[in-house]
Amino acid sequence: MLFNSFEFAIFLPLVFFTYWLVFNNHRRAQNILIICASYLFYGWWDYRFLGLIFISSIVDYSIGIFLLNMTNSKLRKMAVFLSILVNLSLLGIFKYYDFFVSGFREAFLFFGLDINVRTLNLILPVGISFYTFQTMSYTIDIHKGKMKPTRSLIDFLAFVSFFPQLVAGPIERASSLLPQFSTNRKFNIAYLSKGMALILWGLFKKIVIADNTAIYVNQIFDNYEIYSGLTLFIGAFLFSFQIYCDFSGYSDIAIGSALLFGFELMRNFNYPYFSVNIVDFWRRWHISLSSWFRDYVYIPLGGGRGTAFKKNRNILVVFVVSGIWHGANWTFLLWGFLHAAYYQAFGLFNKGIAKRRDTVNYSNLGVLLNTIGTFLIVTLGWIFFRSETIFDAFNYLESLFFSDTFFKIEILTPKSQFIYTFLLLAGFTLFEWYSRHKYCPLELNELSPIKRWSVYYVVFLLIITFGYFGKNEFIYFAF
Amino acid sequence: MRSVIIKIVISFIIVLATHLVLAFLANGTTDQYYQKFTLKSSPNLILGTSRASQGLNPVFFNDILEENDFQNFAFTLKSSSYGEVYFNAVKEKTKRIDSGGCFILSIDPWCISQEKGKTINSSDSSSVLFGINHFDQKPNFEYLWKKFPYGWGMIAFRNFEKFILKANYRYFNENVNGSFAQVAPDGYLRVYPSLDSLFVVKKEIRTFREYEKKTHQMVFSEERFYYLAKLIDLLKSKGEVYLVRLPVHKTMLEIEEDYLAGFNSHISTLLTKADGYFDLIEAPLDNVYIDGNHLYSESATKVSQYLATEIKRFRNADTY
Repeated sequence: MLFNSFEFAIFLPLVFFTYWLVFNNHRRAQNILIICASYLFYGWWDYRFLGLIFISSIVDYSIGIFLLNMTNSKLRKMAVFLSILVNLSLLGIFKYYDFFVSGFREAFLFFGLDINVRTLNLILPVGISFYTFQTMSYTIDIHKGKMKPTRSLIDFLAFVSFFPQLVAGPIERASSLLPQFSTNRKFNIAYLSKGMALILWGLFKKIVIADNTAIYVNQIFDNYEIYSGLTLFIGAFLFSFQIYCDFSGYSDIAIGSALLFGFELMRNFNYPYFSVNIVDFWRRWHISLSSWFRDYVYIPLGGGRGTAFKKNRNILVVFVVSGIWHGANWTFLLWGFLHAAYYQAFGLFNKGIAKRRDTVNYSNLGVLLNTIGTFLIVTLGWIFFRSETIFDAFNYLESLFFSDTFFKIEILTPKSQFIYTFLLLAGFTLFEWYSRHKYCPLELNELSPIKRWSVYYVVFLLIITFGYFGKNEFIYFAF
Repeated sequence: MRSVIIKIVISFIIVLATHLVLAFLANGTTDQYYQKFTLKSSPNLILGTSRASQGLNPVFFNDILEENDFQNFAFTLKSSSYGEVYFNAVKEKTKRIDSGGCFILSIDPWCISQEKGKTINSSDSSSVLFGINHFDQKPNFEYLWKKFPYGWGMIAFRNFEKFILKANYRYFNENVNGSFAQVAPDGYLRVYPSLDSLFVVKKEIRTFREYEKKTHQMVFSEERFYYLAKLIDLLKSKGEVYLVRLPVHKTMLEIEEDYLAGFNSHISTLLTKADGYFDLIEAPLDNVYIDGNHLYSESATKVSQYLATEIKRFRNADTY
C-alpha cells in the first residue's frame, strides 16, 4: 500500500479509530492490531513476501531470548553471527545474488571463460533492506549490552512490522522503538496535531514536488542523448529535488503516521541541501541509515582512530557499503565511491572544520558559496544514482559538460508544468529556508489559528490542484 | 463538534466548486487526448495511432470531401493499436450512426503488432481508452477523474500557457528546441515543433533506435489483425471505409520492411472488406518529419489534402 494512495487514505483513519476508540488502554490489543494492520499494509503489495518478515522477526526474537540466558561469550557471538547471517542471506538472495552472479560471469568472460551460472530473477521484496537492518541492530545491541531482549513476541513482531516505517524507514533502533511497544500509550492531541502536519507536508513534498519533477527527470534521463548541456543540468538539478522530496516526504508521512499511534520515530532528514559541506550533508541526509552505518560498521572498524590509511579505509568501506545497500548496480557503488572521495578530500583540506555547528551564518558569502558548492557536488553524484548503467552515467556527464549546444533552451513537455514546477521549487525552497530551524515547516504554533489553518488550506489545495496523482511509487521502495 | 462538521462541509463545498469550475475550463490544451473525448458523435472519423493523430487534419477532408464534421479519433500506439479496447471505443462512439459515414483507418506494421509474451488485453489495459464509457461529454468528468493524472489546477494553468506559447510561437520555433502541442476542436493534434536540424536529427536517431528495439520485442498479432478486420466490418455497415498507410522517413520504412516484410500481403486480405487502400509511402510529397515517425503539421496538411483528393477521385470514379 502506498502512502499516496486512496487505499491508505481509508486504511489509516480506520486503524487509527480502531486503535484509540476500540482498544484504548489495552496495550496488547493495540500491538496485535498494529501487527495485523502492518501485515495487511505490506501484503497489499505482495502477500507472498510476508513470510520473509516473519522469518526475520522470529529468528531475531529467538536469538534475543537465547542471548538473555546465555553467558558463554563464544555462544553469544555465534548467535549474533547467526542473526547477521540469516538477515544478510535474505538480502543476498533477493537483492544481490543476480548482480554478483552476472558480475562473476562477466569477469570470467573477460578471461575467455564462459561459466554456466543461472540468475534467479527474483522480485525484490519491498523494504527488505530496511527491516533486515532494523532486526540486525536488535541482536547486535543485545550482544553489546545496550539493551535487554524482549520476552514478548507480540511486541517484537509489532516492532519489526510497524507499518509507518516498514518499507522505507526510518531504520529504527530497537533500543529506541521497542520499549515504546512495551509501554502504555495515551492519546495525545499534540502528537495528533504534529503528526497531521507532518503527513500533510510529506504528501505535499511527494505528490506536488517529487512527482511533478519526476516527469522531467524521466524524460531527460531516458533521452539524454538528444538534450543540450543546460537541459541535462536541469535534469540533474530536478532529480536532486525529486529524490529529496520523495524520500523525505515518505519519512515525514512515516513519522507523522507513527505519532498518530503514540510512537516517536527518529528524524531522517534535516534540510540536507542547506548543508555547508559534505560532512554536514551526511549528518542531515538519511540520518537513520548514516547513523546505522556509523554505529555498526564505521565504529567497529575503528572509526576515526588509527593511522590516516585506516581512517580513510573505514570511510571508504562505509560509503561503498552504503552505495551498494541502495541497489545491486555498479552505479550505486560508484556513487558510494564518489561520496567517499568527497568526504576524504574534505577531510584533507579542512581539518577541524567538520565539527558540528548548530548555528550557521548563511549571510557570510563564504558559507553561502560552500552551501551552493555542496549542493552542486551532491547533484553531480545523483547522476550516478539515477542513471541505469555506468555507461549512461558517463555519457550523461560527457553530454552535460561537452555538448556543442550547452545554452540551447529546450522546452520539455508538459510545458506549463515545467514553468510551475520551477515556481513550486522556488516557493518550496524559500519556505524550507524560512523554516530551517523547525522540525517541520508546517509547525506553525507561532501563528494565530486563522493564519495557521489558512496555510494548511493552501498546502492542501496545492496538493489537490497541482499534485500528480498517477501511480508513482516512492523511489526508496526499490531499495 | 458542530463547528468542526460545518468547517468540513464548507471545505468540501469549496473544493467541489473549484473543481467544477476547473472542469469547465478543460479543452484541447488539457492534454493530448481530452478534447477527443468531448466531441459529439460524428459519422466521419479518422482512426489510427499517433501518426494519424498528427498526420491527418480533418479540416481538409471537410473541405475537399464537402463534409462538415470530420473528427480525428486517433490516439497513440499504446492507446489505439487495433484491439478490443479501441474497437469498443469506436463502436460506442459510432453507436448512433447508421449510414452515410466516412471512416479513414490509418494502418502500419506496429498497430497490428503485439509485444512478445504479452496478451493484447494486458497491453491495452494501459490504453487511455480503457475503462472509459463516455466519449462525447463536455466536460468529460469520467475522463478527467480516471485518466487525467494531475490536480485539476493544471487545466487552468495550461489554458493560460496556451496564450503565451501561441503568441510567441515564432520566437520559440527559432530559439527553443522541443515542441508543444494542442488538440484542435476537431480532435487533430497539432504539434508546434522546433525544426532545428541538429535537434531533429537527434530525435530521429532516438526514434530509429527505439523502433529497431521494437523489431525484436514485437510480433505480428493475429488478434489485433482480427480486430482491425472486425472494425472494418462494423464501420462498413455505417458507411465507406478507407485504409491508408501514411508516409514515414525512409529509414523508418526500412525498419518496418525488415520487421514485417509481409505487411502488404496481410493488408491485401482486407481489401475486399474496405472501399479502398491508399499507400502514401511512395506519394510524390516532399514530407518533413518531426522525428522520423510523425509528419510536421505543414506536411500533414499536404498529406491530408492529397489523401482527401484521392478519396474524392476514387468516389467519383466509383460513381461513374
